[in-house]
Order: sequence, then C-alpha cells, then structure tokens
Amino acid sequence: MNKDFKISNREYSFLIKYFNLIENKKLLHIANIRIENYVNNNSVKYIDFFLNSCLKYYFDIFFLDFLSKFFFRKSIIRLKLNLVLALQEADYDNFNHMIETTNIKVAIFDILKYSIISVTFPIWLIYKFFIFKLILKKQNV
Amino acid sequence: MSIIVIGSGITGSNVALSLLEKGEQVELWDFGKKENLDTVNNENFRDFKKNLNESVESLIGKENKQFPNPSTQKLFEIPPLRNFLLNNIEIDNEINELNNFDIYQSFNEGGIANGWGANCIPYNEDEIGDWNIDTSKFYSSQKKIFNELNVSQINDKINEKFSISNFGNENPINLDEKDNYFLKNFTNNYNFFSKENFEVGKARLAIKNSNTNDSCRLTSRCLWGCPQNAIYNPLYSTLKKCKTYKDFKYLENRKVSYFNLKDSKINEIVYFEKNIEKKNKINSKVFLCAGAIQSGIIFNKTCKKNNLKINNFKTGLMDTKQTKIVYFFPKMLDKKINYKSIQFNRLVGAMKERYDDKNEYIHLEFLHLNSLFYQPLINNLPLPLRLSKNIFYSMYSALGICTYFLPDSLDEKNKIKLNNDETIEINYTESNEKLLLDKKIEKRIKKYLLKMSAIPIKTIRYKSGSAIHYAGTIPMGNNDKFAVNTNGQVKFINNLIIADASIIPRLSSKPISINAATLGDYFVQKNT
Repeated sequence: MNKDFKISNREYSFLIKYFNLIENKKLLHIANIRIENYVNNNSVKYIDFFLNSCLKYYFDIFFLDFLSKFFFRKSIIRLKLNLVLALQEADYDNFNHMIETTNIKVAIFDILKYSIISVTFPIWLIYKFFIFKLILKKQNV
Repeated sequence: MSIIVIGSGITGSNVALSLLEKGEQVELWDFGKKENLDTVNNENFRDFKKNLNESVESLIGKENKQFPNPSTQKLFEIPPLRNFLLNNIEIDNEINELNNFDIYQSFNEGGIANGWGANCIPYNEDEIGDWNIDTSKFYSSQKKIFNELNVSQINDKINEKFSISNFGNENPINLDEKDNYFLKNFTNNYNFFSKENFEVGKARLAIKNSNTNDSCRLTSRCLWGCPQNAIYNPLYSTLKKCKTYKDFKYLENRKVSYFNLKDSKINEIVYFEKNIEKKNKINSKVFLCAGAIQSGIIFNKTCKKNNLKINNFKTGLMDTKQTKIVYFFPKMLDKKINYKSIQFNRLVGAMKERYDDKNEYIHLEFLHLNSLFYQPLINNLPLPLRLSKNIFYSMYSALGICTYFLPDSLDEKNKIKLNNDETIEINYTESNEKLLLDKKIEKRIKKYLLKMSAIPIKTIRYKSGSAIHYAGTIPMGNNDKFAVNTNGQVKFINNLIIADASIIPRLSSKPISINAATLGDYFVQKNT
C-alpha cells in the first residue's frame, strides 16, 4: 500500500478548486510537513489507505468531504481538508478572497450538490472499494 | 523581614503590591516562565496575515504542531504563539489522573491572566453574605482592585436590578453595529425581558479605553497579544509597579512543592529550581497565591509531608462550567465585518436561576464575531467542510455566540487527591442538579434569543474545567471542618495565609479573577 499521504500537486489543485482558494506552494509545503508529522506519530489505519487512494478525480473530493464528515471523522483525509483550509485562512490574499467570493447563492447551490451526494455515495463507495481491492490484488499486498 | 508571596498571577501580584503599599518588604516567588511574544506592528488582525510565516506560526503553531488532529471537538484554540498556558504534556507530568475535568494552568510570569477575557463583575452580598467577613473592608478592597485593573465604569439596569456596584475608572468599550442591533432588539422587548428578570448591558472589561497613549487602539488582536498592553495583564501593570519598590524582590525559577512545619509554623519552603529540589529556611509570613489548583496541590503535599490528616478538613474543587449557544441574526446577513474591534465580548447579560437552594446570579457574555481564526469553528459545523466554509463566510457577519457560566458548590466527590505514592489525582463529577441547571438556562436563553430575532443554531457544552475559574480546593470557614479561617489564615500553620481562589467556599457564575484579587487585598488588610 502506498504510505505516502502527502498532498500531491494535482491533489492540491483539486482542493484549491474545491474550496475556491488561491494556490500558494509555500502553504502546500507547510501542509505536507504537518501531514508527515501526523503519519509518523499516529497509527495509520486501513481506512486511511483506502480513502487516500480514492482521490483520483476532482469530483471525488465531494464524496470524501461528505464521508469524512459523517462517517470517518478521524481519517487522514479529514486532516488534509482541514489543514488546507486552515492554512489558506492564515494567508492574507486567501482570507480576503474567501470573504469576497463567498455568498449565500454559492452555499445554496452546494446544498443541492450534497443532496445528490448523500444519495449516491454508497455506489461511489462500493465502486472505489472494488477498485482499491483490485489494485491491492495486482500489487499482491 | 520580607513577607513571601507565592505566585505572580492576578492575585499574587496584587497581594504583593498591597503589601508594598503598606510598607512591607516583599519577596515574590514565581516559576516565572517568560512569554516570548513579539508584538508585530501591523495595524489590525487582517493586516497581520500579510506576513505569512508569522501568521501561520501564530494561528496554527510552529511546524503546525498545534493544529488539532482530525475529529477534534475544540472550538477555539488558544493562539499557539502565546505560551501563557501549560500544554498537556507539562500538566501530565504533574497530574497523573484527570477524571472528567479539563485543566489549564500557567507557570508564566503574570500567570494565566496573561490571556484572560477581561470580564469583571463584582461579588456582592449574594456571594459574600455568608462568608463571615468584614463586608465594608471587602468592598473597599473591591474599589481599589477595580481601579488597579482599569475596569470600565458602567451604570445600567444590571447594577440596579442585581445590586452590582459600578466600580471602575475607565470608559466602556464602544459597541459595533451588531452589538447595537442586539441591544436595540433587547430594548424593543424590554417589558417582556423585565418580567423575566433578564438584563443586557455593556461588558465591564479591564481594558484601558481613555485617550492616553497606552489605550486600546482597536487592532482586533487581543488574543494574539495586545500591542498596546491595554488589556490588564499583571506582568505589564501590577508587577511592573511592584518592581519600582526598593523593598521588592522577584525570585524566578522557583516552583514551590510544599512546606516543612515546626511549632505550627512554616520553617522551610521546599521548591524546585530548574528541576533541582532545594530547601529554604524562613521565619516570615507566607501568602500562598499560586492559583486554586497549584495551591491545592501544595497544601495537600504539606499535610502529607507533615503527617497531618487532610481528610479531617473539607477540601474540594469547583469550576464555572461553560456552555456556548451559537446564534444567527438574519437581518445582519449583508453587513460588513468590522476589523477594527476588540476580540472579546462587548455585551454581557444577567439573570437569576435556582441552584442548590439559592437564587444564583447567572453571568452571560455575548460575542459578535469580528476577528478570530475561524477554521476550528467551520470544522465544528455539522456539514461537509466546503459547505460549512461557504455557509460560514456568507453568514458570519450575522453570527454571534452567547456563553454562560454555571455556578458551582462544594461536593465530597470533587477534589484534588494526593495518593500514597505521591501521584496526584483530580476527580470531578457533575451533579444532576448542575446538569439540570444547564438545561434550564439553555431553554431560557434560546427563548430570549428568538425574542430578539436571533436564531439559535447550536449548543456546545464544555467539560468542567474548561472555564478556568477554579476555586474551593482549600475552602475557608469558621468551624473545625475548615482548614482556613475567614481571614485566610491556615488554622494550624500560624504564618500561612492562603489568598487566592482556593479558599472560596461557593463559586458564583461571575468572573472569578477580579474577585479573587479583591479577596487577596482584603486578606492583606486583615493580616498586616
């Protein structure tokens, strides 16, 4: 199993798009130091490996955010999401961007998106788990 | 001969100053950790984020170590840049078992008041009536301490209806648009609230707000270290004054462990200096002001080391458990955030509720969000993070938090215990009556918020201990069950006076710091 939980450049750009933030490579570097520390000092569970492997496409984050909020609150993916948002909030440009670009219409549109996710997540989860198992089998883990 | 004061917090530093003013020589013994706080020069909290390294380090911690692990329930973290609180590891080294109690301590010069919320409401007849103390002397100490702390002087219905004196010498902090809207809604429904015996008024804060150079400049950086030192902090105020006296000595790196007794007097103080145990023979009076938890531990150890049976005396542990109700003003949705404001509550509430056969004053604080680090709050909303973030930022101009504090009374089960192997155990169980009181207050507040056109969103209950209003570890009283008399004098140690919140026998919902400091000054007047 891939033990690298760091946020890749590709994942970071997905997260930036997901939260509607501004990219800042310095913040990505800081986030990865924290994740590395966490992984070195805490036990990593099977579910962490599984959820981490799920982030392949942009829309996967919607499911991961939903699942890690309601079912897998202690997962590393939750830490990643929280950390990116927290670090971006500590940045002047990002903080101003968050205030200026967020309005109630965006939030209402989001509610619709998560309503769909709350119905479709079991299918997504089964599909992702099947893929995960298949990859493990290929790797003979 | 110097009088020894142990502890430099709000009580210790004020006791030391009162002794010096009376012409006494004073040695202040303190652990005295230093806060390495470089107050940056940016104008306000928003601009403070311009320097990314500084901002990340302050908000999330060096190497992000203080960023909470997944699933934390913590709402507001103490800014990592500031080290006025002990971390869990340091507390674990001293307290081996902690049951149902969150604990926060400080070994800093200036104590835990380096980062307090600055709210001050004076104790009155309701609180001190059955303490058997000289009330007129207590009130004159109260007046003196309120001036020393630069508390804003306010005269409103809270004073009138709840017999609160309008001590203090400062101008009140200005209210912002949301505070004014809140007050307007309260006033518009005043007949209803008056019948309910519920009042709202300006917060009595220990913040300098006159037109002097060291007054509040509204930088919105209170919790991150006021660049003006306008918020009362013993380190920059009372201790600084003490240090101007020739007869004052500040001895740092001394963590008092216990006292050795001889002929019913302290003969020797045993303390740690840079982790090395040392002993110092003394022949003078000692004022113990190390804070309720530390004073309780020192007292327990002293009893054990000198073969005194602690079980012969009443001991305890109390805290004003806090509950927060997050609310939302729909009409404030499109309002701009005021980034030049204070981070603390500018409004307080007062009401009475029945608890433990007494009509207790209930202290409430109304905080309207302006400049905090919001991520912990966003993470706490019961929604996916993106939705939480979008909802929060589209409505946080309309959010507010009501915090209320519950009174506490002594209970046999709640205490600091020193085991035979000298390990320390803290036990705390919330009584059913206290849980019931919490629910009753919550119900009333929610009703009042709705009446003021605010929608309650979420109630967050904290563990006892998190309010950091500890008291009652060595309660005072005149009968034989109590180790300390109502002059703060330990009955079997002639030269020991306990002058902090440890001796308070019943804990009011009112903020404790200023009242503990008042008691300290009162004991100085009674014992010198």
